[in-house]
Amino acid sequence: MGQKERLLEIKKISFFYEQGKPALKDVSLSIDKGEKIAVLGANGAGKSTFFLTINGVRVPQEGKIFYRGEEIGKKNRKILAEHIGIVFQEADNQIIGSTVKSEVAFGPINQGLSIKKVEEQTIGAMREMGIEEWGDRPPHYLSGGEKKRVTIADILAMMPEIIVFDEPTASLDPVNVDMFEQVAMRLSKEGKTVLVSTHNVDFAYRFAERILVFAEGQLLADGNSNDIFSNQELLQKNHLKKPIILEIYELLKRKGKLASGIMPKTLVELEALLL
Amino acid sequence: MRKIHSYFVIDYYSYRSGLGRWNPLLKIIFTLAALLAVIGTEDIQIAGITFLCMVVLVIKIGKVPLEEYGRLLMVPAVFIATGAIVVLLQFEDGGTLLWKWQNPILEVYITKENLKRASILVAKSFSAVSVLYMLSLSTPIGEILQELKKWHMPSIVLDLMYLIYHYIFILLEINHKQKEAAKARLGYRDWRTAIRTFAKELSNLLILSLQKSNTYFDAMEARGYCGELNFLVEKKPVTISQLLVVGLYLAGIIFLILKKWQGFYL
Repeated sequence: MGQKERLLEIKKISFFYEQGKPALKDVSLSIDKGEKIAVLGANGAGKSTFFLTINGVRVPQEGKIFYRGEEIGKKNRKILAEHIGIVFQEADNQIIGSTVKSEVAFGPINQGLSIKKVEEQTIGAMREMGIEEWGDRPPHYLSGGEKKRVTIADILAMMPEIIVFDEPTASLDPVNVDMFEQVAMRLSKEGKTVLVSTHNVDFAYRFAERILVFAEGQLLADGNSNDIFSNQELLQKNHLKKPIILEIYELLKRKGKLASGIMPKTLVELEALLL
Repeated sequence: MRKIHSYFVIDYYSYRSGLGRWNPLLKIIFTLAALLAVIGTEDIQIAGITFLCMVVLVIKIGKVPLEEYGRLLMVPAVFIATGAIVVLLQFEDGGTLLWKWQNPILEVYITKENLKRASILVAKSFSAVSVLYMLSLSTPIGEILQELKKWHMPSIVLDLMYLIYHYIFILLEINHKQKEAAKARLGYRDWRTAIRTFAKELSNLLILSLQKSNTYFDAMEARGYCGELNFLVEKKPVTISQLLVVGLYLAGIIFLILKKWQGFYL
């Protein structure tokens, strides 16, 4: 592994929708290039506000944000939207174009790219999501899973360095959840930094190296997934379940059926440890 | 594509029409010229030919099913029929009488002049409707607004038109879901309950739309929106066959108009 490339640095940001009740409170963290991060926390814990803040849509009342070392103020907060893309939870809230192609091209056009470049990135993103045939279709007649693919292409077309998925698997069927997981893995392999907020701890454990836990606007925990999921107290306090594969791993270990080794992330890895 | 609701029909076909590949500017000019011809001349022949041309275009090239088109025509037909009846009937004697109906309270007459006026009105109206259907059944709203933008319509107006149009579908869909959920709880069991439920749906829809407008704005901003909506426009070049169709129609109409003028002067 080469030198870590720091992309985003946040120092003690707080955000209030209304007086007295913070949606985010004193959140500090930094994100490096290529990280795979899962964001856990109950509904209303501040995950979505956190995402909108690092994307520059919400301006925190307190604290500082740096992108690649540059401090972000009110004037240059567009830098954040340029480099950090959010795939929203509800596709319908995001879709604005009247055809799939103009929908996917909305971001690149706002970035002020040349038409040739817009065209190139749009087609590239549509191909990546396997929707290049849908260019002329109106997105509001697509199904839920299809809309999701369009909204992911929306963000890919902007070529962000960090891609945020806000509860992507909510309201998707198992086939589309698989599709999403493959896309997230592929993006990560391509060197993108991927943040996913989810309630699915199995997925979080499988996918992420690093876990952020939010509760009541605060960042309660930030660490690698093995540490977080071994921290019984933290899990209990936040009503988080332990990933099923870890439960089985611990059970088998207690019964003396496993060789010692790294904590398994997949069934295959678990099998390799079986005595 | 998914099954469609009846009110989405025009929008639905506007994306699948065979005329969709036509250059939008040409279609708009075609529409305006045809409208001018139909409305500007008091001529049943011109109106009839225009109507026929448009129906053939929409059904043959546009591939809109005939029955669907017929159903779409029913909506304006009601208005046109009411209008025509008002023009047709006369409550006093006078003119060349064709038909009358008298009783102690009411006298109704139909005269030759009124019949002619009413039939011209019907022909012109249907013809104008068919012209506008040709445009709207083949051109998505986005393309029409893009052309208007080129004509220097204020972009704030166009953006609003676009957003309102876009969110009508979302509101209709939300209301559709609300309605189903209300039906599942007997919200439409009888007339009184139905009225009450409908009112509640609407007030909820208002609150929802206010909430959602914030979310939509966030989502737009997250993709770099800063005050003006810009979309990628697909280039649709004018082809010879398109020009041929439009040219043929216009030549025919001009010929008819000239013939009519000649009739006046000779």
